[in-house]
Amino acid sequence: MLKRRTLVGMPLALAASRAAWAAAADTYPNRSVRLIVPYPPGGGGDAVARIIAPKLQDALGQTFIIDNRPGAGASIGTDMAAKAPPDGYTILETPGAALTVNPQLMTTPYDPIKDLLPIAMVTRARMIYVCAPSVPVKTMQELIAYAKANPGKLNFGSAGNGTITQLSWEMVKIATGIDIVHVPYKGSGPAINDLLAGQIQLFSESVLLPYIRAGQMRALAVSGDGRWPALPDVPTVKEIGLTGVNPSAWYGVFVPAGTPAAIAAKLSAVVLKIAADPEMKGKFDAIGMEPMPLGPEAFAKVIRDDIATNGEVIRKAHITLD
Amino acid sequence: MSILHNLAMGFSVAVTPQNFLYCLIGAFLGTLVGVFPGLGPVTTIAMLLPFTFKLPAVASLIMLSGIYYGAHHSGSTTAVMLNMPGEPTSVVICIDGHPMARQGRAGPALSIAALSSFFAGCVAVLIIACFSPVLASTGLLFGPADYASLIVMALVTASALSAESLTTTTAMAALGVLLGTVGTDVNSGTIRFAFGQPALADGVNFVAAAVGLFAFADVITHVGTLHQRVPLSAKITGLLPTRADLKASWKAILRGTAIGSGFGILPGTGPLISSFASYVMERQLATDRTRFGNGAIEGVAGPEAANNAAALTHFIPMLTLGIPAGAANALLMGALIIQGIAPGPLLISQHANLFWGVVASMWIGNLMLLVLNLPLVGIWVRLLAIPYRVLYPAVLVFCCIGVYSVSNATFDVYLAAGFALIGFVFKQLDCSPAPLILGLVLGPMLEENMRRALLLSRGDFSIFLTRPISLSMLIVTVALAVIFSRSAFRDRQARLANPQ
Amino acid sequence: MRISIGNRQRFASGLIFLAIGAFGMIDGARYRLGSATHMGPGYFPFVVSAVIALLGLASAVTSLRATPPKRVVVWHLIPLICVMAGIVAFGLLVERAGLVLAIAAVVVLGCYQRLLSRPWEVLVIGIVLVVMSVGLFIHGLGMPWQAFPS
Repeated sequence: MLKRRTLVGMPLALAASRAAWAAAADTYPNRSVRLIVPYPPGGGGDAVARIIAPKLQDALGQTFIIDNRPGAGASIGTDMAAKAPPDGYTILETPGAALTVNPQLMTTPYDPIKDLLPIAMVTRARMIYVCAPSVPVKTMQELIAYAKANPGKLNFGSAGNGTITQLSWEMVKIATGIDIVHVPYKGSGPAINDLLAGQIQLFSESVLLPYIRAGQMRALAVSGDGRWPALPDVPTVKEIGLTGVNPSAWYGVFVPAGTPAAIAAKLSAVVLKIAADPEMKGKFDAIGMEPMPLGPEAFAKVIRDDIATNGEVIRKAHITLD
Repeated sequence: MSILHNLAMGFSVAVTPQNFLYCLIGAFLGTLVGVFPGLGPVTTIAMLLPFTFKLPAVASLIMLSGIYYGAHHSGSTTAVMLNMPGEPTSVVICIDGHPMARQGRAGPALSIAALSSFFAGCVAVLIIACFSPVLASTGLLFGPADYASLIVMALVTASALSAESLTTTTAMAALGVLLGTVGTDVNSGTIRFAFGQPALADGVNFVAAAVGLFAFADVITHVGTLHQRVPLSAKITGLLPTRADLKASWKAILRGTAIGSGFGILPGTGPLISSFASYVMERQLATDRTRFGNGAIEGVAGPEAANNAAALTHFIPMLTLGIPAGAANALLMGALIIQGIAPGPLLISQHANLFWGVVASMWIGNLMLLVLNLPLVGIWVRLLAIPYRVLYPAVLVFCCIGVYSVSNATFDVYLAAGFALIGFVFKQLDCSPAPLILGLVLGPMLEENMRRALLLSRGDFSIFLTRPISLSMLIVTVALAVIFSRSAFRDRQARLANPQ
Repeated sequence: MRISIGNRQRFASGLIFLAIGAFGMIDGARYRLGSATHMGPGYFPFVVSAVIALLGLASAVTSLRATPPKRVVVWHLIPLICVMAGIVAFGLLVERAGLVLAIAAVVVLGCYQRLLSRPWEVLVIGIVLVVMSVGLFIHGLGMPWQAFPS
């Protein structure tokens, strides 16, 4: 009965709400924003957040408060962010594991695709494959040959079950069929300790430059596209020709799904600008990361690809939480 | 003499009036925040870390060092004053420190803690200055099998922590170990005993357990007898230790310093084992063992020295190898990294002035602590004179906040309430919580290292006996077990003969 | 036949340990046990629980003929319930209703004895604690907590 009026009214209403939306984006943010980091303070996990938070403050004129919510391999904090009101005042900064690995290892209370909206990727880390100097090999190819000749002899450490440090070497195992034994640790620190002590021989992480430069570890390969300027003599995994070996470690910003598009777009623009800022490059370098500003669509594609890749590795390597 | 030269360089870097001031501010802030029950050094540093970001590298490190020592030391302050350990290493201080406070001797207890910390700190700084690289490589000699045996040795000493019956104390330690298995198992990734709670997936939160078992249980016990309670310092007998106190303590301080400097380098376990080992040693070596648990000053002096020495040498793996040996270290390392300095094997050579500046700042931090804390003893003691009925609500509130602040998780608060119940029940049944805490912290490490050792040896048990360090640890364990059971037997005979 | 228990506290604690140990063994067996050389996640908890159970049993048995301890133990349950309720209330309120109300709950429940006899004292204590906490944690340290319900 009111159809005529509503038909006329609808475009007006749409226009009005669109104006309201745009206006909301204009006034956003008008109070402090909560930046959830699902890792404890001071570890590698929240270094990126601590670097970009002051810049976000400068750009948007409101305080960005870092709220550390660690636990359950980043699942607790990620879930909290996913369930927060989608008004742009709660954002999430996290490395990839919470989205691309955890949901496939255990049932998480959030869906990484449906519950979270990608804003931008900030940095990407190069995973460096290293071996102890005691292993008589100089390149990845030699290592693979050595491992094939000595099955079950070499140990590779990881920062825990299901972490990217484990998946990196599992990918190599699947691609080449070598038999190396997985030794999990509680975080990378203890693993590095045991590598230096000679208890394990292989490892993979992004923060190993100081050890490589000091000669305590030998770099065999790096992940990513194109040679890394920090290690120009080390080939990439792609160059070596290992198919399916693509460990992906990135840090990105998210908002809960359902956040208004205008606010999301504003955040994206700001974050991308920060990530591309040359001044930030030095700071990211110190923590072993490369700035990798990627907008929402490209970022979403990377996430989907990673979920697929990691899922396959988890399946083929029979990685379970027992 | 290059070490003196380096130290001089370090001091010239660190001892600018500005840096001195930063250190003082840091120590003050660390003490102030750290003294809140439940806020241990790690939480305190995490909270205060952002203050240091704006400062240049050396200044921020010096301020952080002040914060670290302030927070670390206030763990002992709350242990003495409120029977509330700020972190695992202060648990032993509760055992004799708090009874001293109840006897009106809080002043001497706190003062001797400050003095022994300072002494141990000076010695440890010298050791770091002279022997860092050597000590670092010694730490690397320990493999998983050696750690496992070391922890077995430490757990055996748990039985000597309290005067209660051997079965009870050992059962409490074992219960702590069982509680330690709650959470994610490192070697398989399985989540054990979490009953569907994601917050338990990372294990039982130490702060929640300590606050519940010590502070909350204490409050519950005392509130019921409020009208009967004698004010804590009805008779304050001076603020400084007496000559008799010093005479009794100096050997404990020396022994504690040695233990702490040695064990401190071991990642993870070092500081905790140091303070417990010192306590047990003092108790065993004392002529009158019944004093322990009732306010024996050696029981404060020795572990304090061990504690502080270990806290300092604990930095060695981080500074020389870039491996953070504990949560607090990891925070400090993160702070360094944000400043653009990656600690690692090249730190000494490439950023020499920074390394030596850090070493110098450690000493300054220690000095600052003495300067700050000795006068503060007077204030703390006066705080204790506040009627308990006004004091305990404050303890409750600050403990709740402290527990919540660790991970901003309400679950931890509920967990602390649960531990309050457990602590109350066990207190009523004469079971001391200290061995439980030891088990809670060391248990997971024991399992992790045992299984890792077996993984690396491909299932061969003999690795525990073929590695020299592991073998020596196990031999010491057997020896200790014999010594403890004999002295426990003798104590029991004495008690039976003299039933008072 | 009436069994006289020498040391009641030790008897009770022994029974508690026995119960905990038994629970641990049953629940621990849920996880894969594995073998001694290749331990599964259930092995260690199972063995430790068995140790606790045995120690509990030993403790209870030896307590039967032990000398009774000197102190009399009174079980004051009301302080236990009130203080625990206060702590739980803090957990329930701190995120839903803000820090101020959470602190108020702890103080009110913790000081249950004085609510009628000395209400002003409770009020003053509460106000001082609220001001100190909000000042130090929210304003001073910038913790991302709410002081008041939003």
